[in-house]
Amino acid sequence: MRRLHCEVLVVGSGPGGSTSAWMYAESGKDVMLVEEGRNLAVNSSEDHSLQQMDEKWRSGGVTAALGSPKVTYIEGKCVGGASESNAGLYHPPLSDGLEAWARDFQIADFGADELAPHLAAVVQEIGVSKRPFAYSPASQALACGSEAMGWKWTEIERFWRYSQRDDGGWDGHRRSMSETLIPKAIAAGCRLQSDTRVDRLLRRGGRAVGAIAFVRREDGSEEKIQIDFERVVVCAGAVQTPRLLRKSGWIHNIGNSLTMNPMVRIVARFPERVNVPSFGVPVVQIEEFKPTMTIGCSYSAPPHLAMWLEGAADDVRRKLEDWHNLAVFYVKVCGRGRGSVRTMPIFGDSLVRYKTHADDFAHLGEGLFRLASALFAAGATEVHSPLPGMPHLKESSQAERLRRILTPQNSSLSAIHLHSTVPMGENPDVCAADSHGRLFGAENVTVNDSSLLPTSPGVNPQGTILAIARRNILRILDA
Amino acid sequence: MRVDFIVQGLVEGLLVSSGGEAVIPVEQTTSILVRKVDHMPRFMRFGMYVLLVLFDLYGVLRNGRRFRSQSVEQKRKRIEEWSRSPLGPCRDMVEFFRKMGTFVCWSLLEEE
Ligand SMILES: Cc1cc2nc3c(=O)[nH]c(=O)nc-3n(C[C@H](O)[C@H](O)[C@H](O)COP(=O)(O)OP(=O)(O)OC[C@H]3O[C@@H](n4cnc5c(N)ncnc54)[C@H](O)[C@@H]3O)c2cc1C
Repeated sequence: MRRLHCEVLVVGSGPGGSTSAWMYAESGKDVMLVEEGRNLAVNSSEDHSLQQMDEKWRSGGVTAALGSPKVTYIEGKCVGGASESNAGLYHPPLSDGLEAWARDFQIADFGADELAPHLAAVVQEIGVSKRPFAYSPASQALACGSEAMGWKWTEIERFWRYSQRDDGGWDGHRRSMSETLIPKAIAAGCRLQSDTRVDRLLRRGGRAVGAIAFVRREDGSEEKIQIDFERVVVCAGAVQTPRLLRKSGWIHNIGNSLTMNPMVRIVARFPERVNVPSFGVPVVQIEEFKPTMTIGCSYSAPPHLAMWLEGAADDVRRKLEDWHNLAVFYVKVCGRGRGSVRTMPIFGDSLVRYKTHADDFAHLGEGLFRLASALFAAGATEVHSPLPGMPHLKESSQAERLRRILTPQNSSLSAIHLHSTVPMGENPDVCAADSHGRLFGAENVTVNDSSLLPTSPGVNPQGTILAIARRNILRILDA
Repeated sequence: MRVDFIVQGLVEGLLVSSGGEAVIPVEQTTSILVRKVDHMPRFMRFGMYVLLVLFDLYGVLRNGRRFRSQSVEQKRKRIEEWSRSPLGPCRDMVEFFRKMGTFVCWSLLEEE
């Protein structure tokens, strides 16, 4: 068996792993960044296309947490993790939420003030910007509806850069990890090993001494290798990190407290055009009800619209004839439910279970009611029901129906923000890693990704994950 | 085990309109959906195969022929019955093929 050596092994190259690899490499350590997925250009496929699902998402984007109802979710799987295909919306963490984490999970030296310099550094390093041109008409409609209802709304900044073309138009560039921190890490000496899945860590007493990994060859076969290291940083995301740790024999408080932000979508029709071919990612969110619920606009290209419009081909074609007048909107709640991550016996896959909390159904219903009210206030002529077979709403007085529409039996929920499977802090009852991500019961294992967030942050989490990852590595290097 | 014929039947039952004119890429949609099933985590793939086979046999129970061999109209009825089933996995299976099938089909039509 081939053996590789490094001082620091970083498993997973999403936002947490890229930050860790870059900072360790900058400090002069010999770092290897191992990623299960492929090394692809950031624009190798169109956003949310079939090709992107196959290339950049685990299991082609078809993964589900079992429960009643099941919740479908997406995990990134490529160099850069989910940052390569996400919307890049940057939302700073909410101060109250950070204080609650510090208090309830007993996280030392933690809070809005402590995290602020790390957030600033992340924003500076990666680049965050507002859209330099008008929002898409659907975003404008949402903003207008929100105003009519007297609710605050906001434009969310993105990990994105814009450049102006000669013809005056704008090009957007995703500031994903493969475009930002990974090249920096490589320039500082980090070795990137893609197409390589770490299967388990080898333990000797309280230390991890190596990793067994499988390298995928061009012909589809796999080579088994061993990687020896002095320290390992596990950043495989909120599902794969607990799975790898549990498989390697660490189980205390690991994989028991998964949180996510369940989401539902609806389609609305307007008398005027709200959808254009270059619709992109809508950046407007209704601010008023955060963190309990976030209301926004979604990708609305015709194949996405079609998914939410019911019927056979002729029906859908008819409905799509005026696709310019249709857009998809979402309600996402800060989930109060809890889930677990285990390894499925016999099959060996991750087994994710999630119990949606009754409050989440209530909040989703309330959110749908508010969303529909705002859309009608913005001039929508029709709001489709989120449930198949139910009549569409034609006026705002009917929006009330959405309040209690969702039940565990009929809901179709999805999630893209998963966290909390290795919560950090000093509270021994609930935490699996200390205040800086060092795994309890392991001398040289650190976790540094979305798994550490003690509960759901209620807002787009990537900025928080990056800032916490930076804070943790700086602290560990200092020590 | 091959499930292509059952998946194709689902695509026809879910997406082909009765007496409609829309031409949809049934075969391409089917092969992409089969690939999607094959990319699922192993236990989900296993579950999906079991459901597909049961669904095929459910056709025999209802009107003496496997689902794959029924007319499009009958296929639509069988799908409708499963989408109203009290059993979550049956409803989930239909929902998966309805949503993913629609997305795949319209992505292909857009490419054209
Ligand atoms: C579609 C989508 C849209 C999103 N939009 C936003 C947004 O707009 N704003 C926002 O803030 N957040 C967004 N998110 C969430 C955000 O992308 C994630 O929270 C963030 O990427 C999580 O970072 P991470 O470091 O925990 O791991 P991930 O990004 O999940 O990366 C983990 C990496 O580890 C690799 N890996 C896993 N197991 C192994 C193993 N055993 N060996 C080797 N490698 C392994 C995986 O292949 C993956 O590449 C979105 C997520 C998705 C899926």
